Amino acid sequence: MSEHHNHPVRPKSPQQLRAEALEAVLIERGLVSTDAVDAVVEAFQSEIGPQNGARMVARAWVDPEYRERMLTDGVAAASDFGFVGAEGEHLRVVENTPQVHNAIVCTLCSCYPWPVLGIPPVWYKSAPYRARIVREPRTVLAEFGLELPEDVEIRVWDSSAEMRYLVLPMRPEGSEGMSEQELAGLVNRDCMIGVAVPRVEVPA
Amino acid sequence: MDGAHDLGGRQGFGPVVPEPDEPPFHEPWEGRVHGLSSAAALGPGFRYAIERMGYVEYLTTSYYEHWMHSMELRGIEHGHFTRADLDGWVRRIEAGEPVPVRTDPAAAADVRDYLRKSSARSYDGPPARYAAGDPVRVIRVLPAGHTRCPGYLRGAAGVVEQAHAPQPLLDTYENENGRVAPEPWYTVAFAAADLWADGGPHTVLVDLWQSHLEDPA
Repeated sequence: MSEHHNHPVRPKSPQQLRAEALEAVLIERGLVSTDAVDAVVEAFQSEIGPQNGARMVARAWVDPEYRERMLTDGVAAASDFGFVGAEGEHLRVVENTPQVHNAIVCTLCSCYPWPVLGIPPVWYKSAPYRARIVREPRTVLAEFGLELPEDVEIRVWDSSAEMRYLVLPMRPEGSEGMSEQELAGLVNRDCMIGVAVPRVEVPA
Repeated sequence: MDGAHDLGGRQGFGPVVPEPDEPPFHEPWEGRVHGLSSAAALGPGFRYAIERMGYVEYLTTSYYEHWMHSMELRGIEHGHFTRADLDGWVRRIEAGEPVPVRTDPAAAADVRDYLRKSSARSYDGPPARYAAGDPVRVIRVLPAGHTRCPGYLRGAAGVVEQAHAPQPLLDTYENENGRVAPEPWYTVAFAAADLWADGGPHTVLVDLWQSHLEDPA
């Protein structure tokens, strides 16, 4: 540690102080343990994230039977991969088609399908997204760079009760012949929230 | 509650600002707060505690500050600790004292299960009043306290898109200290043009419990 000895110590932010005080009180009262908190942090930093949902989407693109099951029973389709747990008890997968584009939101809070998408991004939890996506989705999607044809119906799903939603995007042009693993690499978090669509980068 | 949290359709917020390559937690304390919330049973009322923050504080603080506020308030209201306990620890930590460490492998295993195993279960409840395709109207007078019925739907006409088996009405759960009152619930489709004068031709689909709905006039 001696090589760090002369570095100035960064003062703790008010938020960090409050969080540490809360943890200290809860530990003192026996209401929580350090290793339990560590376990949650590790889980969201490693295995619980949008890479999980991407694997389901890629499977649905190559396996029509899986796709069918995913659309009728999202929990069963997620369970195939072991993607179950808190905030995934009720999961519905909604499919984009040439006629319909889906987007998800939670206007009252920030409900989100943790086992398949992990922690929601700050913009998803922010007031502008929660306020606007239900009222002016076409404008919001355009701000994300997603311009949809006028004749596409937009469906916005407000997760206000027990159901959590995942968007199944359309398989992009140019992905023919790709392996399931390569296909999963085309699917990012935003595609499964519905503010983006997967694209195959065309070499210039 | 008609609070700052009930944001659907509100105007004046400006653009959505995405952050490239956003990490799960921006600061280590955010991860600690998420972990504390998952691991510590402080009693019901997580959401209602956030909803009572007040507009200015709610809109100018981050998601994990909301969670922290909820845990502090519920811990105090359910008698687990006092504001003085929290303030005392802030001073001790400012003075250089470390956060105490306590290990409990069984509790750590429990929270792993919470994140990786389904806790879904079925409930008995009153019979379903509606089926897919039925026209419904959202009640005009919403429940006091916490409600899962967004304010932008007050009195709105919609059509049931899907009916679901009973689950505890979370309005009751939060407002009545964890009382379990299962009810059928529904995914209801609303034409945006029926909700807002400038609503586009899109559809908004919202999950509502039976108590939030009535027969159309």
